[in-house]
Amino acid sequence: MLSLNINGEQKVFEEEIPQNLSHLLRLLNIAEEAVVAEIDGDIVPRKDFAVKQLSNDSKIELIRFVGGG
Amino acid sequence: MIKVNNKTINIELPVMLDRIIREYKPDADMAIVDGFGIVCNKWAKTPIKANAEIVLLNKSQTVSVDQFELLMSARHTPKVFDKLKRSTVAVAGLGGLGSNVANMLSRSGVGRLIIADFDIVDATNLNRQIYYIDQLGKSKTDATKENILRINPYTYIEDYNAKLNPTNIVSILNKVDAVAECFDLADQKQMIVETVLTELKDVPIFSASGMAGIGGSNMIKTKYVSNRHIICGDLETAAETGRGLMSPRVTIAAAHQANAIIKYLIDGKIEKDFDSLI
Repeated sequence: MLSLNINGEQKVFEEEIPQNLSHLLRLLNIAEEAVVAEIDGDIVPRKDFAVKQLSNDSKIELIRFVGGG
Repeated sequence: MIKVNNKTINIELPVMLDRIIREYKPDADMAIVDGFGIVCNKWAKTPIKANAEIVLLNKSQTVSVDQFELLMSARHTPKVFDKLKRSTVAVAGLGGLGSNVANMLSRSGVGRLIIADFDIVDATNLNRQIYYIDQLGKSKTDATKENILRINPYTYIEDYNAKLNPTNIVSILNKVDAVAECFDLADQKQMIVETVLTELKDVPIFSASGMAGIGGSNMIKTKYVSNRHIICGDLETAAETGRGLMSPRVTIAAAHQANAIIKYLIDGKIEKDFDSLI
């Protein structure tokens, strides 16, 4: 089991446990090329998403951009 | 002591505005006191307080270049103009968002703009971008520079006709007071926001996301993400097939960006007084 606080909401993963940030984004169905991610106050560069492991009760902020301007 | 057209005047107070006009510019047909225009039928009833800054103008007279900046500053709340004049803002991308943001910042008197875009003006841009028929084919940096200097010739402009990437962002934008993210593609928005937040330690970024189509104007908000990041838009309405970008909503989002930037330049900090994103 892994419990994460994502954008202010507590989310518990029981079946498929996200192994890293990329995996989490896949489970949440979010395209990672448009996300700025912050874990426990630090920005995680996009190149590190696939290796960034998640620990229980991490506070994760995901800022998603959509196209247009 | 008061100031009339930037000259310090010692006059016994209280005094009414009409007397100042009779004495210092009898042909004035416009009077601005501390950033606020006073209509002529109120001149005799407007008391002038100590330290007032008054600008008197005859609208039909041509304005010298020297007078121009004084007149521009007259419309601002005192002290605001000086802060904006000393500020440097980068506008990254000069499409629907950036051409509007650059326009609004220069009208507001921001002294230095760094503008960047790799593209040229084409006919499909004119539905929402601040360019004109006679600018088709010009680089957006040249066209924007031309337009800004027609608004405020005192704006100092550095232009980069190049595609921004994490490397040149660090070298070009490292001394600015604020960055306006005005890109079109979501992954490019991600790239510049991540780069500015991780590589440029003290620079705040004002980004935009979600302003396509004709949805409600009031869905577009200024959202606080952190003390270095503001995001403007409805956050969800992407430009896509069947839902293009239209002038009103793109301009609304750009105005949110420009307003948040100006507020930051004047206050010196981003406070959580906007709605919080998270």
